[in-house]
Amino acid sequence: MRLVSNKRQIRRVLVPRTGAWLVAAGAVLFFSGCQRDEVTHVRVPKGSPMAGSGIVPPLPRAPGGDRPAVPTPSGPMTTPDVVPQVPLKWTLPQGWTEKLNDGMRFATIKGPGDARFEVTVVVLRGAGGGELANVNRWRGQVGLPEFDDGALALARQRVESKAGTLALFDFSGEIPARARVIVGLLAFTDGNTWFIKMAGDAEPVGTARADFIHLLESLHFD
Amino acid sequence: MTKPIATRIWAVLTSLKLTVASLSVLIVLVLACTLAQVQLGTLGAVTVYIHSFWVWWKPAGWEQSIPLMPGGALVGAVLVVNLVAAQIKRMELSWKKSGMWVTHAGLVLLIAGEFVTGAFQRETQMTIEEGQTVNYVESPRELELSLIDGTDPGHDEVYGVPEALLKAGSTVAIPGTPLSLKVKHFVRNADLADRAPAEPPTMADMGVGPHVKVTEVPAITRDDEMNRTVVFVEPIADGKSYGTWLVSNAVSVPQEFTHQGRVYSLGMRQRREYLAYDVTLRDFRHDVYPGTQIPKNFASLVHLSTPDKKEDRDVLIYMNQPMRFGGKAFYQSSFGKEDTLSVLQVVDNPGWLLPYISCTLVSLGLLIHFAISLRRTQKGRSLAVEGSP
Repeated sequence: MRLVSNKRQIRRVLVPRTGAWLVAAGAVLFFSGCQRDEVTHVRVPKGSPMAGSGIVPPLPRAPGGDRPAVPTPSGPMTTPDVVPQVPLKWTLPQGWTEKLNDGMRFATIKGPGDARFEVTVVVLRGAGGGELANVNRWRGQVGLPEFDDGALALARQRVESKAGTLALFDFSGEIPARARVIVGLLAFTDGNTWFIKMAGDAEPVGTARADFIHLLESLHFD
Repeated sequence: MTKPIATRIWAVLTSLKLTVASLSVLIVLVLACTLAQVQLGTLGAVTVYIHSFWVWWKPAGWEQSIPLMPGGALVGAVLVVNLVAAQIKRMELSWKKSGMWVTHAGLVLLIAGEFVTGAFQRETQMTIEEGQTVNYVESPRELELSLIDGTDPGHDEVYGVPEALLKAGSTVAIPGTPLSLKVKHFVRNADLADRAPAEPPTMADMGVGPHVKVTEVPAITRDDEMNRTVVFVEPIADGKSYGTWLVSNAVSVPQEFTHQGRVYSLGMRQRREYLAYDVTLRDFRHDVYPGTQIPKNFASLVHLSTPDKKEDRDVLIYMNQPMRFGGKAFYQSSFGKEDTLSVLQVVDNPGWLLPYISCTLVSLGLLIHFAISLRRTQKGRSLAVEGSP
């Protein structure tokens, strides 16, 4: 049974309609295909998973599932308008040299000769972003995954000094090749936090570790 | 006498050679796309070869790219036009051809479905730890500048400025606030390091920016990496400038300024879309075959709830068994933190049913066509038998 026998008639009926449909479909896709880019706003109760969401570090998905932290820029990350009320002092190991600076980076200390490590003394206002955030930043700098609170507690060592008790962290990683970072962290009563960080190639850092610990033990405020 | 140009175009559009050529190009595209995934990652390769109208190539030393071959979108469009035109030209509108009409409609719908998917589909992720409740999904690739007014003790006002609006020279007004952000410079991907005092000053004069050295590097295309995007912005409120700040997803501590007693925090994060419902991860299971580390099953038991409690139920999400709700499908995608964290791939595709409908139509059309052909053949045999001596 034939509904319409004249092909020309079929084309006359269908072609214009088909073209119109294709143009309409294309127009719809073209004009509404892109996601609308506009400023969004949401009110988030404090304490909810979304609260303080602006500071959640980005976590790209890695093969295998675990999501390592994006390496953060080296150096402290907080507002730098810090003027320590009481300067921190220390005794340099033999052959080490220091250069005092103004502002956030309080001092830079070099090992003897062409030692392939550097010690930086940094003072930050307040908690300086917090212990966990900073530890994860240092771990990111040597290519290690982030810690949670439990792992942080396990990694924390103590060093006693006249200035107070320092939390000590020692991490070795592969970025750059065989890098190591040892950091002493001292929260002081004037509201500032001091970071004394030795970073460099794993081998010279390991050799200088004992001298660095002595330096930390010699910290004091006059 | 030459044929009118319209007739010649019609002949090309309805040509079977065009079908074969298009399918051949499609095979090459799929092969090239598969190989390119090594360098570009899945998303990058699909964008370059399949979701584009042309595949572009930039010869070494050239300023401009040149079109190398048609992309998947163009080939798909040509195939649709070819299929429809050929159908109109060759097929008659009769019951005996109804099967082929239905089959071809199914094929057109299949290609159209890919266009709908390309245009409308959004893929995001929900990363959720056991016991945690989340009501947002994040884009795995797109970023947004977040401005958070954390002044009120009970809640934060969170504003998100999509990456696409952060064009150098533009000014973005933050609705509902007196603030606007003047974008001074945008770097898609950068290496960040301590800036030595002797090095040239940066554009930023507030926050961490003055102490950070920014070096632009090529953008990342691999799926398992992410750009470290940097933007220099100048918040302005009521004509007062709050200096220029460096904001980056590689900077993980807040940078704050205060305007009229309200404290605003600047940051950059993966672009978020907030949902009208909560998802709580009750349990994540990662089963392996006994005695091996070979995965057998990944499953997330989640609790879905809406504020009005019309939806308040547990749902088990496991491999190839997504949770569908609110126009989104939540697939089990990944996991972490020693099996206490689950990553769900969230797909929002209004055209997700089209491939199913098109496959059904193609199957139905072929069945009809074969049934009609069979009946005709049997009828022919009967007539032959009746007419035989």
